[in-house]
Amino acid sequence: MTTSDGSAAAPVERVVRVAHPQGLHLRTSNQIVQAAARFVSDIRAGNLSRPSPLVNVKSILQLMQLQAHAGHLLRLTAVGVDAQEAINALALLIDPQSSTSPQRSENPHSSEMHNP
Amino acid sequence: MNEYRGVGASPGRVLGKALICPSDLENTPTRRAPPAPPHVEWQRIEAAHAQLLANLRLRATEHGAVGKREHAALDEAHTAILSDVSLMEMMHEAVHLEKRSAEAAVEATFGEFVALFSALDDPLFAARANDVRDLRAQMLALLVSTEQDAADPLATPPPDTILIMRDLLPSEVARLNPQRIAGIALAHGSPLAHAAILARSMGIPLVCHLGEAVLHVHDGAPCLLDGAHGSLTFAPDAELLPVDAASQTAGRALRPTGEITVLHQVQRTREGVPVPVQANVNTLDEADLVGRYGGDGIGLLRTEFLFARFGASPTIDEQSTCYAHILKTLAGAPCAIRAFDFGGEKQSPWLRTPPGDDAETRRGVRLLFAYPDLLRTQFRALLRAIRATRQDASLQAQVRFLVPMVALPEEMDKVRVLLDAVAAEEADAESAASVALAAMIEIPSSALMAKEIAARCAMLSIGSNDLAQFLFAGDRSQQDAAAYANALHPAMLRMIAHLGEVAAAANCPLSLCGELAGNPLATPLLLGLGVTELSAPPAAIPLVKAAVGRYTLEECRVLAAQALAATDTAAVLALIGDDQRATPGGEE
Repeated sequence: MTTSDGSAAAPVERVVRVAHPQGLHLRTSNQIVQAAARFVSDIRAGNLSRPSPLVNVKSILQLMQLQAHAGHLLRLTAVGVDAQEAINALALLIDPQSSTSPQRSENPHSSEMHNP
Repeated sequence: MNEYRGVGASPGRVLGKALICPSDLENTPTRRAPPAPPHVEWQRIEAAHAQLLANLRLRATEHGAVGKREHAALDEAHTAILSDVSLMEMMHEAVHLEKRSAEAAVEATFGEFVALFSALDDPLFAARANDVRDLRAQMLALLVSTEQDAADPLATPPPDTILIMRDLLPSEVARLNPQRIAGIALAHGSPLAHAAILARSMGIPLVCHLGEAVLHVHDGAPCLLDGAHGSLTFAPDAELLPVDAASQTAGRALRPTGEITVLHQVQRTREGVPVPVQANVNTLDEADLVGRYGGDGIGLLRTEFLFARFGASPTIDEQSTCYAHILKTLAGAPCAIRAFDFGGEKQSPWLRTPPGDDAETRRGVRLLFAYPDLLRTQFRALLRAIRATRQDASLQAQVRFLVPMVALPEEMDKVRVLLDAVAAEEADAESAASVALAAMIEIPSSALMAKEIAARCAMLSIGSNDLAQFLFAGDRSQQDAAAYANALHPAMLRMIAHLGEVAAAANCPLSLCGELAGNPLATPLLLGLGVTELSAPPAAIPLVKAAVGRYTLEECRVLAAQALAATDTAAVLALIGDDQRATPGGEE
């Protein structure tokens, strides 16, 4: 998704509930990381249900720092040409019940976890 | 006799000889030479990384081919971690920007993630630190140019070895020779770590958290490892333990086979009597574990620990939010919330007692009577939480309110008067009526007055740790091991049997929520004595449920009758330890 002048679109943001009963443990996290790796966009996640860093969704070691359990709410933010597709795909993986309607945000988190 | 107490992580009772073995964690080789140019060091990292990935994939295929599913899944998980993008980025930076050697880059990068995981408060996620440590050790081993000598104490130990280690890596478990290693004792470790999962699947008894002192025992010393109740005993008393060759094979037969399964419904005895196995819960995170381990609700919510981190006494809102969260998590399963149980070694961080007050010497309900606002606030918060959940019809919360340290029947009357007053103030008789009042039997006087107490409440709940302590005038903080042994003493069993008779006559549920409830070896004994529900640490629930399903109540009663006739704890231990049905596996 690019604007007419060719620059990247605004960040795409979405809040998803963790549906997997095991939460984001090794196996589930691995699936999410594999899916995220297919997109060029930068994808970050934070756990709204407990204090957590903002992490890179393409890193399994960072993703597990969210300590996400079933029912926790995650905020996903993607920036890049395929941000919308990335968010849709990941939201569906984290919660298969989630609808595909996007939420846009002009104010992505400024703090982020670069290198832990 | 010298006993070390830890946390049981894989059941089974075995005799063997101690062998202290350094873990790969402590053997990390360091490189002799200063770093070569960055591109050379980076090539070494890439080569070791590619080699380790190939090894892991090969191992996963091999394990999958021979049906070792737990091993294969772990290899795949490790592959995923090792492929992590940030690991490679950070190592690249360490080599190119910080001019580190390959070894130092691996140490630093993996070390940062070890520290991050170790600092997590959720034990399920924190246990992943060991997986990262494991991969670091394997990376470092591959970086070492000199080949290690072949003698691996894990693969070729003397027969009947009880391995004693500081901690254990999953890759080390995979190297273990199960023909020769009878059991594993760890100074640290976690029952939730992958190493423990693998040990269970291999049927090797494992005890963790024994403390550093265990690393200083003598190699070759005979010892008895009990993976079900979490102990390692040196120079065991001859009459206490089976020492002849025949019972040693019996000990072997006690090993479980196959992975422990989590049962998400109420377990039944062999003839079909349901026995709820519930969880002891201290924190909100632990409440999340209840469903994971198949707990049939919460049998003991220790509210004094739930709010232990609060600087001031928790408000009604804070309390009701927490209770409502837990009730929702349980989705209708029973929840026994214990009133604040301060006193003794559990002093409240926020209860302000006037100078000269004797709060330290008062405990449980007696302390609550001295500070009735504690109890009023708590009950008010509970009613509000129940109201909040009642809006959702599917969440018909079953709430029990446990009164700690009851000594006399009239104390239950007094509590009820207090609670009725709160219900009236809240104008919520409906919520109040849905709360079942239960008395904790922890003081011998309450056990002897159980009939009168049962007439005043809906349920009796035995706190076996305190009951054993007060029965024998023991000092629980000093003599944990002794108190535990006392919990299986015939004097204690006779007291539980009395409670069983009273509860049966009154048609009143009898729960037991002390440490004893988490020991699957004791499960049939407790059922035979008349206990109808058990409440154990979440991780112990699958084992206890497996034990429940292995017996009929009649078999349990026969076992209990034998134990009641015993003269000392040793005879009781022999009775339950000798019973080969007591741990999972066997000939089912």
